[in-house]
Amino acid sequence: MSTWKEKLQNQIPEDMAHDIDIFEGQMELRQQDKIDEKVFAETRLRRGAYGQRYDNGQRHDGIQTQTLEFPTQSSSKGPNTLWDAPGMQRIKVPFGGLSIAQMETLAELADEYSDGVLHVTTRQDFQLHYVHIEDTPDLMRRLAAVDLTTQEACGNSVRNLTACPLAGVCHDEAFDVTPYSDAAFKFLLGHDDIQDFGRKFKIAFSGCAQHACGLVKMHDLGFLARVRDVDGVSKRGFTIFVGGGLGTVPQQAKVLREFVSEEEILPVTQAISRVFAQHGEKQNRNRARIKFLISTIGLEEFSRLVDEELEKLPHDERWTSYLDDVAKYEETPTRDGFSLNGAPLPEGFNDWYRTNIYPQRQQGYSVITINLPLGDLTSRQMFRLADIAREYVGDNVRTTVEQNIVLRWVSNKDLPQVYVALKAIGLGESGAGTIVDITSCPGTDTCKLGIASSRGLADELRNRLVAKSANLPEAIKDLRVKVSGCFNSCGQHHIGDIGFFGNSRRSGNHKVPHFQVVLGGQWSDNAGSFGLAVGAVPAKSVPDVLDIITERYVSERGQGESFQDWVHRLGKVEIKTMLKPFMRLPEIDTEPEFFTDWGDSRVYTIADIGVGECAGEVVSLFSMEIAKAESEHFDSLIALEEGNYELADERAYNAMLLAARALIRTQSFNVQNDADWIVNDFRTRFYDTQLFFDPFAKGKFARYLLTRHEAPPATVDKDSAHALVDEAQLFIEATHAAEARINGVIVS
Amino acid sequence: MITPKRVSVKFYANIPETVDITAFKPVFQRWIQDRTLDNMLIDVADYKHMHEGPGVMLIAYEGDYALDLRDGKPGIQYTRKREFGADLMETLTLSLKLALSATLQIEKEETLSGVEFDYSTIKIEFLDRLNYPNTPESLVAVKEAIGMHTQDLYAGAVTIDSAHADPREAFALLIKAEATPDGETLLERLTGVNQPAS
Repeated sequence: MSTWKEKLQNQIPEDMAHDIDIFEGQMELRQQDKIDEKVFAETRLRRGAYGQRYDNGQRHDGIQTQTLEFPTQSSSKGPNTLWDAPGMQRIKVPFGGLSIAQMETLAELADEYSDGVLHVTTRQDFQLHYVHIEDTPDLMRRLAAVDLTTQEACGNSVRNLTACPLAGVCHDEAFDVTPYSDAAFKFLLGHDDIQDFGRKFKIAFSGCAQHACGLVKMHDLGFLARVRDVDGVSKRGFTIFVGGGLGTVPQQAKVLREFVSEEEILPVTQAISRVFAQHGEKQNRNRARIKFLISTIGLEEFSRLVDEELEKLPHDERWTSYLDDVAKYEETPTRDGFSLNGAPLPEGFNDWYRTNIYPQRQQGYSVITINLPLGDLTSRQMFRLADIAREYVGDNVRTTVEQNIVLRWVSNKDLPQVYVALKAIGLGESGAGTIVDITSCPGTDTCKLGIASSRGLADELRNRLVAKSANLPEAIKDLRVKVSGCFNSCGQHHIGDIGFFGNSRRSGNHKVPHFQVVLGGQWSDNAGSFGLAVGAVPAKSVPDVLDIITERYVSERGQGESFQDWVHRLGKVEIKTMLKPFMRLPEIDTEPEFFTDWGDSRVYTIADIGVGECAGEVVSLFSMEIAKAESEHFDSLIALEEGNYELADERAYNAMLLAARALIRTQSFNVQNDADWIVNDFRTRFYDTQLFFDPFAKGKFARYLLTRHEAPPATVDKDSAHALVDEAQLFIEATHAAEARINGVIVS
Repeated sequence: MITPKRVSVKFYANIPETVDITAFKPVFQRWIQDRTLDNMLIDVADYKHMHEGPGVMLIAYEGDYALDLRDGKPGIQYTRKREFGADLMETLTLSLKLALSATLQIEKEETLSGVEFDYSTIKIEFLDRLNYPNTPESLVAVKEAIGMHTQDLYAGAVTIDSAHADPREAFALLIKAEATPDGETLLERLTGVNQPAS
């Protein structure tokens, strides 16, 4: 047998095999330059083949930018993405459900096409890194042979459907959402009505309102299980949420329908998809998520449009045919459930049991959470884990949005043996779901958008916390720490008790990696509230910042006071005072360690920015002016905290005006204070010329100011004020970056 | 024999307690700066948080180098991914030369002082389950194909055994020689003349 295509021809569903063949053909056409590179880029994204850092053929080595001389410099797989550059392959795992055969195939693929490492994402996917595009068709075929797909894992489409990893075994759920999420996944995959979105679309299912697992409130579309009595009959259905999302400016989803029966969820989803495809933004990618559509037209109008589409939809028998499978759906344990029988327990078992075991509602069984450091496991660990699954739980394995893996239906009497088996392969670490179990996106390790090393920071924090875990106060053990490498929220920093996202500051002629501190997010209640940014600190100061925050919480909290309540009670002024000693900019001559990022020996850089002609001293005028904007922004945070939303809105707007004015002053002496003048001058100098544009976000941050100036809100509520405060913070960040690009002499 | 889609070669190392594996990362970063090795070096990947994982990797276009921690024994592993030789032997020779270039360079690094390699043993892993399934038949065929060459390489007797008992894992060999040559000698024998690998 000479090819995987031949070997697997009878094991892959015909339509999937055909789709992969088409993709392989498109690759060939692209190499012959017969497909536009933008078109091919979206094509491969919809096959889950993503770009990776340095795939533009440039890499700063800490001293200078090197050209990576790939063999075929002229061939690209998308704009600024060289054909030969390795990339990332994302693999969808609907509701996180894994079979043993899938685990073994994933291990093989990591070996043969990647670097031997499997990475679990915050959407229950797997990612392989350093994958070459030529290898992807065979990789996809081998996945398809075990019923896994990469289709629509990236691109402007419906991404992986997530669901509670405890669905079906949880004590609090209305019912098991697993078969519903599976049905929705199958219904939507490749559906005509999801092919014309302006941006990605994320869906989640949750079995209960009070716990976090499903995180439906941070999704474009969320389903929360409900049981309602209808004419004396108990009826299954869902509360439907729409318009949530994290991203640069997080937004809570809103309830579109209080109760939609199980017969109606697929047509309603289809109607929502049609409305999004027809009315969602297509040109401006930064406002193309469904949350912006709903903000623009209002929930009521959105709901009306959904009703209108529902009326027009042609009947599809799949809307209800899946219910036969729901009725039949059940998980089969491999072993009978018994209690722990009093036998001697292995060393470390009790700690592990406390944090990594969830007793199922089914008597005699538990769920084990395997705490994966940084979401990673090796191909060999995956093979061994498949062996453990085969012996103890069968196909009852799932990934989680906290980048872990759970084994379900473990007989309690087997827990010690499973612990020993996991320990032997390095997967027996305790601390799942606690402060040591830190979530992190790939950040600067592999992501093109990464600004700071989220994985480096997460690894450092985890090592420090694990070293002192025996002595950590109970009050902080269950706090969630989440880290993103940039303002996009792939590490979900908005919903951690303590979150960090990467940015940078300029000190003299150098950049310093920083992390913005985000406090008070709520993981529980399905991501019930989002944290607020309270200040940026150098990356190397973050461990000390985490220490001081947790130490103060431990010593100052009231009886039963949650971390969120403590943050709220402490107030922004006090938090700022607490962080202030850490916020000062270091100087490279005296503190060079601040100019490298965690886990990276290179002098820090944000790649190729900072081409300028003015050598010499940095003029300090900008620093002084921007400080005013930051101060005003801080006041907007206070106003928001105090519930004075109109004032918060006004101050956030003023903060943006001051930041814009600070930037104008770097080019002109004659600067006025009038808002119209500032905005007009800013637009002329920096927006129309694109000087303010972020390399990836383009003019997005500038438009925060332009939009607020041109269309002040008729009424200000908590949500809109919160959003503008966040936008102002990002605008200030962008102003720093723009000033560095325009005026700085960045040598690193 | 057919060239495998990917192939790894690994020389095991003795790393003294005085050398922390984190020290490999700046060395690999500097190798990128200085273009020390002949592959097109791209980036350093840090996996030292993983149990018996690939440790610290130096990612290149043609092949990856790793301070590999698998098998419970550290070593330098080179995995050829692109631009293979015409057949198995040519690809293996190329991979061994590149791996040796890296080990010899490591032995010169001041910050890694004390790191030594056991050149009497080579692990070869065929990351190609389609053409090289982990079966007794593969073992027989590959032993026949490379047996004489490995004896030439070591100028003496060698044993070649399967390295992975689990049939799901990639087919792999462990070559053990009675002789214990140094790395320079092996490289000379592979190269024919004493010149850098390419």
